[in-house]
Amino acid sequence: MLYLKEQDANYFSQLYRRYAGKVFAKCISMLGDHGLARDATQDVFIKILLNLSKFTEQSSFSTWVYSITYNYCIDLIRKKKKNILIFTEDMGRVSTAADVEIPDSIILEMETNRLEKVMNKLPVGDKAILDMKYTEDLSIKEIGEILNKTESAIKMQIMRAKIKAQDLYEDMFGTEPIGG
Amino acid sequence: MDNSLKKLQAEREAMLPPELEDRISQHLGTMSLFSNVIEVFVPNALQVVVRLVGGEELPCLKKAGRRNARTNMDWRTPPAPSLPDPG
Repeated sequence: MLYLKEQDANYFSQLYRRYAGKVFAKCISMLGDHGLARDATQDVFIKILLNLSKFTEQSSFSTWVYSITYNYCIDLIRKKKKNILIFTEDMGRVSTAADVEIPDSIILEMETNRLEKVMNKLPVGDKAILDMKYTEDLSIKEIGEILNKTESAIKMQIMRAKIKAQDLYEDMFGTEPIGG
Repeated sequence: MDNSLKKLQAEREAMLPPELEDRISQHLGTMSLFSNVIEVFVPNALQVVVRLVGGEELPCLKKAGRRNARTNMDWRTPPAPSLPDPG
């Protein structure tokens, strides 16, 4: 409401220039549709501006923006599909985090067109968690705060997401090398 | 060097529709105007509701009361003996 009262266009243009691209990219990644992502970006920005006074500086501003974007997209997806799988459930292959060590190169060195195809097949929560870890470089603690999970749960979820990504890659591209 | 996820993110950021800034700005402008209008009218509206619920007699109702009092006759008081006696 403070923004609406002060009507300071500078707030908006500064925020927009800094975060619009990132918010839009996250929305495309999670919603998988250009039009939906555009509408979601608009709604997320309005939410951000109306809730600026609630930002407590406990986390960084970009983490707060990411949190609003993530929660907005998850709510939107849940409204459309009631029983959607947000995260890869225990796949039976993974017993403890120490058992299997999947290298980060599975994700980080994959050719981008292939990575996009793999990411599009991942459950939305897995996509988001890999995005937070490897694109935003958020710490495990920060990811835990956004997703409201413990640090060990986040570590386990990252590993499951990597395994799932590896399986999807093998299904789609066989034994071709990751880098293309 | 950026990893593949960061490259993918950069590609998607470049797809940001250019008209989106104006669209959000217009939407915020409309909301701002609406909030100003509400701010002008709602305090008075709330005041009226609060006074009514509180049982206070509002000026508009007081006026109506006075007008009614003027037109209502008191039938208990006998008329003044101003008319001539018919006998």
